[in-house]
Amino acid sequence: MRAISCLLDWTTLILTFAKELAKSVHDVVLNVIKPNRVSQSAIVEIPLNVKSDLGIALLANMVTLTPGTTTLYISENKKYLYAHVMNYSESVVTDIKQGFERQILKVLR
Amino acid sequence: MWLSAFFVLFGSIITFIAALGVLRLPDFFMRMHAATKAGVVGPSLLLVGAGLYEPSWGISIKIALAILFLLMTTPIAAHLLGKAGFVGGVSLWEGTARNDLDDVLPSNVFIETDAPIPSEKPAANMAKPPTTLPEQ
Repeated sequence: MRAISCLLDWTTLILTFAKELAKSVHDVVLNVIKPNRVSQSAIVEIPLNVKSDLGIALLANMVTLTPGTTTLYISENKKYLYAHVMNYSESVVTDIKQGFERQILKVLR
Repeated sequence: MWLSAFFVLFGSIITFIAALGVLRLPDFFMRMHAATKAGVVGPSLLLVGAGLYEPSWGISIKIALAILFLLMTTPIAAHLLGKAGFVGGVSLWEGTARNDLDDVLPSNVFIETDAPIPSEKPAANMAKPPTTLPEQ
């Protein structure tokens, strides 16, 4: 039962990731064709709830490959992740925390 | 056959747009976006197209592994390049709204200065050991 739910969590994570990857490529293509589309970018600080190195690595890689965000730096004490955001809006941080981080926490539990 | 052609064409178009993005986008970090995201998907689609031309189990496994390694390594390279760019003092474009990293990581560390580069001393130190070592 445990194994099934673990497998289910991984599948959800991978599917979400594939969907986001497709969306991010679409986003980048639009931005390249029309550079005026980007109004403002930013470097934001994301507080981390994932503690393990594997979790942080997974999250950092996924942040890089999802729409409009690229990991730049992880603070020395592994509590914050700094990401460059292409189309900045206030909701970016909560989106990442609610989306990927929660799923990664579930998977690594 | 047609499916394979479609994947190869689509992959090359995405790779081309990634290259175009590296030329067109306004600052270093934005160009990084184009190079990583489209740079993973483009080659992956090319690989899938190549695999569909002559499908077999061996080829599918090889392609799955290649795509997995692309997914794992490209973001790491981008992460390191982005950090190096920031530390090296790449200027952000005027549309940057917020910069939280500014007071965390020192910027402009590698900037050129007018001060003379102390190259003489390390070179002398490097040169000395070989001359003394054989005598021991």
